[in-house]
Amino acid sequence: MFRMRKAGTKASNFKLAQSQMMVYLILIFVLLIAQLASPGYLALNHVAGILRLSSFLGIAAIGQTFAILIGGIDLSIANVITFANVIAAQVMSGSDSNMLAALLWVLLMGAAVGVINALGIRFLKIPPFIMTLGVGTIIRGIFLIYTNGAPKGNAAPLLRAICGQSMMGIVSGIVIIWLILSIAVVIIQKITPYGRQIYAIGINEQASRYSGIPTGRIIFSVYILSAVFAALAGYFLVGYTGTSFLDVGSDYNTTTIAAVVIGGTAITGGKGGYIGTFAGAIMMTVLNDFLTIVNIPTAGRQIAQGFIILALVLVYSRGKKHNQ
Amino acid sequence: MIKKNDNKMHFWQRNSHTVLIFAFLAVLMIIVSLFSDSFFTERNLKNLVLSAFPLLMVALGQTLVLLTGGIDLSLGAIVSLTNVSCVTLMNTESSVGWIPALAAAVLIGVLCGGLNGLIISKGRLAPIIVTLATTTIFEGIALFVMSSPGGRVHSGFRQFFIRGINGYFPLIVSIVVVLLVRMISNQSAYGRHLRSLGGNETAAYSTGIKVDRVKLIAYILAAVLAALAGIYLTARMNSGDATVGKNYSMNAITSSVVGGTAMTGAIGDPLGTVAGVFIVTIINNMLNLLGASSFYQFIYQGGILIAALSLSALRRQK
Repeated sequence: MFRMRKAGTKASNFKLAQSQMMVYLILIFVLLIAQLASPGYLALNHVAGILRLSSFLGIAAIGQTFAILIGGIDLSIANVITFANVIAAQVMSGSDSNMLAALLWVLLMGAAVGVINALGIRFLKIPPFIMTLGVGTIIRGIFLIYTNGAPKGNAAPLLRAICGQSMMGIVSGIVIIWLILSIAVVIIQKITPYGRQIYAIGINEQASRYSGIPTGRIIFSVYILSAVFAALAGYFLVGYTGTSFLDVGSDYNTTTIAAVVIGGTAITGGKGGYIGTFAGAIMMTVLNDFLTIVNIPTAGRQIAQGFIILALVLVYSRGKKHNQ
Repeated sequence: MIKKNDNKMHFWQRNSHTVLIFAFLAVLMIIVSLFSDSFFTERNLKNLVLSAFPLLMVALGQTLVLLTGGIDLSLGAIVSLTNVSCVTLMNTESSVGWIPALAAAVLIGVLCGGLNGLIISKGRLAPIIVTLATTTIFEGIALFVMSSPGGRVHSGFRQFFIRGINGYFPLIVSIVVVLLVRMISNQSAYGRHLRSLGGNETAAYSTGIKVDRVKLIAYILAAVLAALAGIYLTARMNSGDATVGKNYSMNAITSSVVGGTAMTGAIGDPLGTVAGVFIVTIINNMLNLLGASSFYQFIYQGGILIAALSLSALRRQK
């Protein structure tokens, strides 16, 4: 009996590794098609450009990966990104010396939102979907009233340089920041006890609690992490766009969830991780970028993207059959 | 005899949320009427039904889907898609020019819901992911059909939908649809299957319920209700707009959940959803009436959602 169970885990571990590797295989495949259809797609500076675009989604998707891994979801990300964007631009108001202050304010806001999300989910037992949706809606109201529809301020030159085309010869500074964050996140998820506890909660929260895992504290930390990374993405987006605008975050709920799921993380939690999301974020960016390059209008781009996401999840995130 | 007693004892337990939410709605209406003399006039109540109609349709559909333990994020996109298709296919010259447009809208609803339901059941994929992807697809098709808002609507059709039967037509349709949906979910065999699916899908499968078919029908019903909302918006706006439905998916989830439907499935009552829809609509109306900035509506809506959920959570803990 014990033996069988062990074999079972091994098999599912293998399957899991497979589905995370699958994203990379499909990504390579998609990139090759792009190169064939539009020669020069894989040129060094274009790839660097794609990585730069992916980094904002990639950073925002770190939090979503954590939230989905514990069996939750974070729908406040979109509005946290916009709020962070508004705060960052206003505090910075175009001066390098205010960059650190802006970063601190933005992170503080993110942490506060995370605490509120976690309080509702943990103590009021509100489903994460609803709690984060409600908090997101309230944040939207707050930044609309705060800016009265017209955000002020602009990016500091240094932040613009970090998020600009290239900082160190080839690749943009934001890509390097994203890589460092990604490595740290993967290490946390795969090696530390904290990471293992997150997976355990995602698989079975009650069992985890009974086996002595401090589930409450971990759920708290995860929602704080999620909002903080969203806030960070909003902060860096100011450097990308130069000024703040009120729709900057709108698509990020959908795109972060898509990046996480395309990356092979189970929407029900407990399986997957940021290694896959990393490729998922690049995949989302490439799909959009490539369809734009081959001159498909917005409508066609949306339709194609939807079908591609469906096809990808059909390949590797199907549930069990009932009679199994 | 014992059974009858049992039923009586459980009435409060079974319907407590619905009763409470209607009490909350009544209190809300009284408070609003204190601020505005014109609230309890026939004209304003008619207007209330008119403005609540599309959300009511979508929310009833969402309730059915939530009962299966699923979720449909694409309903708003279906509202947009049916709205633009309806306008595009309408022949404003002929007196029966609205018939093919209406038929097409309903058919599009069936197809969209069918696509959702098939991929979710046969593909064994999570509803949230599938409907997230189909939202993008339906929105794309809507943009393809009509890239910028506009178009003309058959005037006879518009007149009848908004002002037909002394202006009571939307109200009559609402009542009929609410009763139908409630019969389906609370009194029919299909409704029992719907709920047992939401309770425990594997168990439902083991007891011989055709899980895939029950799911498919739920998503089709929800999409057809969304199509009704799209048709109605065609008449009310007198034009088409590929983004008109954008907020309906989330607002429908809000209304259903405020009305007592559980996100985890099995528990819920379409009547509660009706109260949820009117609470959301009245709050937005009230803000307009008081001349508050529309920005505040986000704060109230988010607040109400969290408050309603906290209350039901606290009651559960007792």
